[in-house]
Formats: sequence, structure tokens, C-alpha cells
Amino acid sequence: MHNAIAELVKRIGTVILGKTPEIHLVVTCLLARGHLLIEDLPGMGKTTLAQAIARSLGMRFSRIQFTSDMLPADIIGVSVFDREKNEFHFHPGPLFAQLVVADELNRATPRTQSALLEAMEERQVSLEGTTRELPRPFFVIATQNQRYHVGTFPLPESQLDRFLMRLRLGYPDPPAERQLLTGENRADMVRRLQPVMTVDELIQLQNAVPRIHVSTAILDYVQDIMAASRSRPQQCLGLSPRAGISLVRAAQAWALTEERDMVLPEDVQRVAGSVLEHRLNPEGGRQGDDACSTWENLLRSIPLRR
Amino acid sequence: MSGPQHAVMPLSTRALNRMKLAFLFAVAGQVPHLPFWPTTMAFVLLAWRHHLDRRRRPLPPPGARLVLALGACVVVYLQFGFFMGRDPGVSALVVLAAVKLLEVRQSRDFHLMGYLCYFLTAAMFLFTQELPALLFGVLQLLTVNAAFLQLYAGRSRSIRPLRGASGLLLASIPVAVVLFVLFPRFPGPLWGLGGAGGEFGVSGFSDTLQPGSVARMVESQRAVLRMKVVEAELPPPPQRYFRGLVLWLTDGRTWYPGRIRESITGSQRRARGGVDQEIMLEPHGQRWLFALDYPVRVPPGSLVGPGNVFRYHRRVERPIRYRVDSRIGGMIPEPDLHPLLRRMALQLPREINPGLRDLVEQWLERDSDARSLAERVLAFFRSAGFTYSLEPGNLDPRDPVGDFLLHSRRGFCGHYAAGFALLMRMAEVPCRIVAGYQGGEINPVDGQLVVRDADAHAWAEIWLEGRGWLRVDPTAAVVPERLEYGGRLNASLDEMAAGSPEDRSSVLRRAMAEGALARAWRWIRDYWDVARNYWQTWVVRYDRYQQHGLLSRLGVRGLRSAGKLALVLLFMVFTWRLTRWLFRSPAQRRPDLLERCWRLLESRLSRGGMSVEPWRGPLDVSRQARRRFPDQAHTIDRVIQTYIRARYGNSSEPGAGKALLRRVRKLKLPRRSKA
Repeated sequence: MHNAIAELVKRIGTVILGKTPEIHLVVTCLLARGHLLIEDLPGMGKTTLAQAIARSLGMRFSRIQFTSDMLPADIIGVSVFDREKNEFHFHPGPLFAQLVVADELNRATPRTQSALLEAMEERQVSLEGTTRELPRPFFVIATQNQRYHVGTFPLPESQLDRFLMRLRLGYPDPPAERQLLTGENRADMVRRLQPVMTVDELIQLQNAVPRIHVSTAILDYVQDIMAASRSRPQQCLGLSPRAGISLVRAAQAWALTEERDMVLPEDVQRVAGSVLEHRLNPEGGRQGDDACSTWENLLRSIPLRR
Repeated sequence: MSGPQHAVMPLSTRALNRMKLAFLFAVAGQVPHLPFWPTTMAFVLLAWRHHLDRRRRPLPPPGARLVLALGACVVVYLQFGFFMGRDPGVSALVVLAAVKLLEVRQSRDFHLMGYLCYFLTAAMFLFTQELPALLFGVLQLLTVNAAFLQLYAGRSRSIRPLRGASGLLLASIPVAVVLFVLFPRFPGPLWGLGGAGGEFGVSGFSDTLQPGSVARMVESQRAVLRMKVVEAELPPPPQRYFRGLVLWLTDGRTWYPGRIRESITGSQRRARGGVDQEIMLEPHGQRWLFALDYPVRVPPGSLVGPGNVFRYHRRVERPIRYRVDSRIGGMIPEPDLHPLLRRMALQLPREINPGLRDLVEQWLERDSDARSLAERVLAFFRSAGFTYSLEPGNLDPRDPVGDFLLHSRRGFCGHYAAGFALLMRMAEVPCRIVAGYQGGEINPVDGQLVVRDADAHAWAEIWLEGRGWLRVDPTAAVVPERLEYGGRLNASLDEMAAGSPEDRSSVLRRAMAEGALARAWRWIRDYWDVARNYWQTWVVRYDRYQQHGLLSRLGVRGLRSAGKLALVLLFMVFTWRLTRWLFRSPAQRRPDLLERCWRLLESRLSRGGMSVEPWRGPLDVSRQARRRFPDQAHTIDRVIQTYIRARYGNSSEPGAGKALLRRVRKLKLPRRSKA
């Protein structure tokens, strides 16, 4: 693995125990300039993870707890009239941070949701005629809890598509859990975390991702995956072109974390789960509930062109 | 998808319904050939199954099905009294397949049911090999194919069953054609399962002639024979007499052929007749064959018997095709008449109408020569108010000929031939009646002459001392147009014979004119005739002689059955490979050097007991292989890394593929049994 990235993953892993593969994917998502959706129960370490990432990369961090009475202005910011200077002054909202944790995104109304999602896509905010660039890098980790549906506004498929990956952290394994129970307070640990790399170094790494070579064999493979997803029975969703672009980009980022200058089928397969699952199965039902949503079956049905 | 999961997958209602439809068609094809009970039982069981499905009731338990199967066997046994042979065999197949339908639950049963339906289609051809059966058979195959397609499409409604099923059928045609052409033929009917007779449509001729018997036939338009002349001109219509049987004996009412030993041939054989014909004859259940008058050279298996009758070695019970050489002309030259035949040709009924005796004596006073006597009789027919009629009215049953000649004077060819023969015999001129066909129509589609029942005809032959038999057609004396236009005129001849010459031509015009509907009907009939002829010639009658001829025309000579079988096998293998090539997966389409390297590596690994899943990436495979073959780990890793660089990397090193191939070839892995 790439030295700095390996160090980053390791450092985050000291706080979030037993979740190295997931952390690896989170870092991949960050490198690919994608946004991340974490779906899990409360108390599984979503926020801790986000804070740990922000700390280890020296990123400015803000957290938005979404509620149903939240308005777009609450996250973007407002212009307030300054009497002394006799002009409007913009007070940036919590969105103007390098790493934004959007907690329980599905509690917000669609209007507020779409304000966030638009900002995610454009990486800028338009307010009262002026366009304001969001800081770089800009990385959103949204969380949502699918278990409690009352009073929520589930993200529609079109907006789910804006997240590069969807992850589930899941319960820790017993040794990790024991360590959590006996160890010190995670919040304190996060506060003590030292940055592994600077923000500039991170941007350099992000810039390196598109330069990872994608051979025609890999493009064939990705297209085979897309075609197979589209030729399944009608009640299943097919993959959009954006899904294909995301898959390639994520695979490139994964190859970079593996310190390789080319994408291999394995890279595609490692990221396929988190990149494709929420596009194939937007309902978020557990895998295996619905025969057509299992991306593993999809991948296993596609022979590699050797 | 794993196998067992597939096997217990419940069938979709749509697929099951399609299979029921297929079975319905399969059994329907047997209805005309099997007794009432087996097919009815099959239909009832089918309806029952459908009812159970509609009401979502459980299928009958195994015990009930066993009882049903035994019951089915009992039904078949009661019907036939035995189990061997075609009819009981197919009956048992029908009823047992219907019982099987009651337990179709899984895809395995479904497949078996489909194959049974295919088999029933094949069984239909044991009974009939006519064109309609072929069309119905195609329909049956389409329904079964559609059922299978629906099975694989599950519940989906998006498939187009007819399209898919016809596609499958069309794709199988080339294979079927080659197998049909090449598969060795064995002498004798392949389906020699002792079919009961009676299926062939017996043509109108019986072996006796009563003056009125022809009338029943002339109404029918059924084609009796088709003729093609080889390397010669078709004789003009008045010469188209097809000789059938010769009738020698009469009791005054009916004419009989009589029994004559084959040794009394009497006819003189000639080397060549001049008109070589190829005839396809519909079955008529008798031994005689038809040929243009008179047949000289006949094919093996047949002979020209006494009275120049062309006979087959057995009864004609299926369509046959033969080649015969005839000499055209009204005269059969023969130096002398066998005494027995002379006696037969002069035989008279015991009682003869005295009126006729007077008539003949008048003629005898003036002429004694056979030919002029015949002229006298014909002149009598022409002048004494004789008319042609297919409805001659009732003649005196004790003396129909006398009644006809002296009183009613209305009749058709049978009456005229019989009357003429009687008069000639009374004048001591040997005379016999010939029954056959006269006329026929040329089918514009393929130019063959088609003779129908309506062309049935009877005429007479008189013996000229020292010269031979001369044909005399007394009907032609009354209505000469009969010779020119054949059976098509039958209905109008009546009117024509009565009228003046002007009337005759207008009647003729009216008779030959036809409306658009009739023309369309004629057109359909002509094409159907030709299609049927091709079917009979090239498919049903395709025997080893035809096969031999076809193969030698294709340049394959002297092939024995074993050779043909080998050729068939070769073709099957070829087809199989071709199909695999045509439907190869995209990955197989361009096997470049790198791919060959990988496949070779795969086969090396699998010989070592490690199977490579097709979706596994090279790194995973490398990891797996290194664990499996720790001794070779380094080499394997290097090989795979080289492959990865060449396949997925940015820089293309020239010659990397070849180097890799060499390295993979050198890779020696220990052989182990599969894990």
C-alpha cells in the first residue's frame, strides 16, 4: 500500500477498531473526490470516523445534524445586513468546511437535502446572485438510518447516485469490541490524533488518481458489468453511465492506494460493492432479499476477458 | 445458478399452459389414425389437468396415477388385444403421455413432456406422409418449441414465442436436410410396422365394369396419376389413352377381366416404344398400372400380361413412381391370337336381345370384314339418335345393353364400349373392352400431365386377323370433343351431343370458360399438385436409389451404408463445432497471444488441481496459485505479474507476449487430484 495512505488507514484504525477494509474504502472515496453515504445504526462510530479522518488530514471539519425543520440557509449560510458598514455581510454556514458530516440526512426535507446534494455536485454555492466556491478538498460524509422510517424523507435514487459510495460499518468483532469497552474515550483519542499529511499533499494525491492507467481490458470489463446489470429482469435497476464513471474513478483511486499505476480487475471488484450496491438496490434492504440486487452475483456472472 | 436449485424451480403457469397446448396439438395429430378411446382418454386427462390447475387443486397422488397408467394399458389392450405394432404402440404412447402430464411439476417433467410431444409428432408420420401432415407437424413442433421458450423465460411476458419457435425450427432445417440426404436408406419401407391397410385413397376403378359404373367417378376431380414424358413429345390429346385393365368376359350386364395364365402373353415385345414416361400413380389397391396405350418396356417388378395389361408385382397401396416406355398409335400389332383368348374375345351372354340379332344380321349381309363392320356400328351410333349423358336413366336390369342400344340410346363411355363390344362379338369379330383414362390436363406450373378421376374412360379393341388389335372408341363417334378436352367436358357433353355443330361450339366455349373464382381454385390446385408431387418424389419416395443418384450427382460414388453413417457423424461433429463457433462468447472471439498465455496457464493450473473461476482477477488467481503450489510460487507470481503488465499496463513491451508464452510453457506444476 502507498506509504502515506497506509499510515493514514492505520492511524484511523487506532480509533475505529477492526474496520480496516471500510476505512480503506473511505480513504479511496476521499481520493476519488467522491462523497460517502454511511448507512448504519446510531452509535456505530460514524461521527468518530469522520472526525478521525478530518484530524489525520488536518481538514476543517463541521457537522450538521439534520432535522425536519431545517432550511437550506441553515447549512449554506445567510447574508446579514451590517448597519455600520451599510451592506450585507455573508455568514457562511457549516457547509463551508473541508469535511462535512451530514448526520441523518434523511430527516431533512427534500428541499434542504437537495441544497446539500447540489453543493456536493457543483462544489460551489449560489446565493443571492453570487457564486461562492466551497473549500478544497470538499468531502461530505452523510449518514442515514434506514431502520426508522417515521418522519424521514428517503433519498430518491437520483440523489443516491450522487454519492460515490455507500458503506455500512456494521458491528465490531468481539476482540475489537472488548478493546472498545476497556479502552479510553474515543473522543479524547480523536482529539490527540496528529495529521498524517497536509491538505496540499492530499490534493496532490487526488490529482494523481485520474492518471492511473485504465486499459481497454478494464474498460471492456466495466462495460460488461454495466451491460449485464441492464439485461437483468425488468424489476431491477440497470446501472447509469454515471455509475460506470464512478466505478472507474473509484477503481483508479483503489489502485492508487495499492500503489499501482494501472487498474486491475481486482480493483474494480474491491470497490464494486460500495459503488454499485446503492445504485442496484436503492431500498437498502439486506443483500439476498432480492435476487437481482446482489452485486456479488452480478460480478460472478461476468467472465473476465483475459 | 446451481443445478439442484434449477430442478426444483416451480413451473410458471404460462409455460405449463403452453405445454398443454403443445400436447393438445400432438394428440390432435393422432385423432384420424387411432381408435376413439386412446385419444379421447388423452383429451380427458388433459382437460382434467387444466381444471386442477385452474382451481389450484393438488395433482392426483402417485397411487392414482399408477392406477391410471394401468388403466391406460388395459384400454389399449382391450382395443387391440396386443401391444406390438404401430397402432397399439402409438396408442399406448398417447395415453401414457397423458398420464405423465398429470405429474408435471418440475422443469425435468416439463422436458420429458416436451420430448414426448416431439415423439408424438414423429409417430404421426408412421401413419401418413402426406403434405398436410407435414404442415400439421410443423405446427406441432412450433407449439412445443414455444413451450420450451416460455419455460426458460420464466414468468416473463416479453418473449415472442412464435418468433423464437420458428427461429429454432428454421435453424434446424439445414441439419435436418443434410441428415435426410445422407442417412443410409435400407431396402423396404423403414416404417414397416405392419400398418393396417385402408389409408390410401382407392381410386374409382374396380376390376369389373358395369355400363353405369363410370358415372360415379367422373364427378370426382381427384388426381389419379401424373405423367412426364422423357426425351419425347407429349402425344396430342386424342392420343392420350391410358391403358388400365382389359375386360374379356360378360354376362350381359357386367364385364369381367377373366383369369388368364401369365404365360399366354400373346403380345410381341419390342425393343423400344418411343414415348418414355415417368408416372406417379396414386394408390388404388389393385395390381394394374397405367401407361399410355400401349406399354412396351416396363420397369423391374412389373410386367405386361395378357391383353397388354401392365401389372405390378403387388397391389398398389402407396403412391408409386415408375418409368415405362409406350408405343403410341391405335394399333397393337400381333401376328396371331391365342385360341383361348379368341374364345374369350368372342364370348357372349347366354341370352341376347333378338332385336340386336336382327341388327347384326342386316350388317353381316353387306360386310364381313371386321373393320367395315366396326365402321357400320359407329355409323349406327352417329346416326341413330344416340346421345351422351352421364344420367342415362334406368335401363332394363335384365338386358341393359339391349335396352340402351335399341330404346334409350342415352349413355356414356361404358355404355358405348359395352354396346360396341357386344355387337362386334355377335358379328364374330373378337373384341375386348379396355378401361383406363383418356385425356388429362397439363399443369402449367411444372408442365406435367395430370389425370383425374373425371378422365376415366372405357373403349374397345377389335381383332384384325393377322394384324393385331385395333382401338375403336365408340364414345368418340358420338362426341369427338371428348378426346380433345377430356374429362373437363363431362358435364357439358350431354348438351353437346344433342345439338347441331353451331350449338356444339358455343357449348364448348361455355364449358371451357371459367370465372375468376374457378381460375383461382385451379391455380391453387395446380400449385398444390406440384408441391405434393415434389414432396412425394423427393421426400416420401426418397429411397436408396434416389439417394445413390443424388450422391453421385454431387460427386460421391460407391458409398456404403457405413460410409454414409460416418459422413453423417462427421457432419454432426462439424455442425456442433460450427454452432459453438457461431455462438461463441465475446471472450472467445479474439484469442490474442496474451489470452492464449492465460488459457494455457489456466489449463496448467487446473491440471494441478486448481480451478480458476472465470470472474477471478489475475492477482487473486496468483494468490490462490501461490498458496496451492508453494514450490512454484515465485515463478507463478512472475508469470502473472508479466501478464498483468502486458494486459493492464500502460507501456507495451514488444515481444512480451511471446516471452510470456514461453515462460508459461516452461511452467511445470505437480499434478494433483482436484481439490
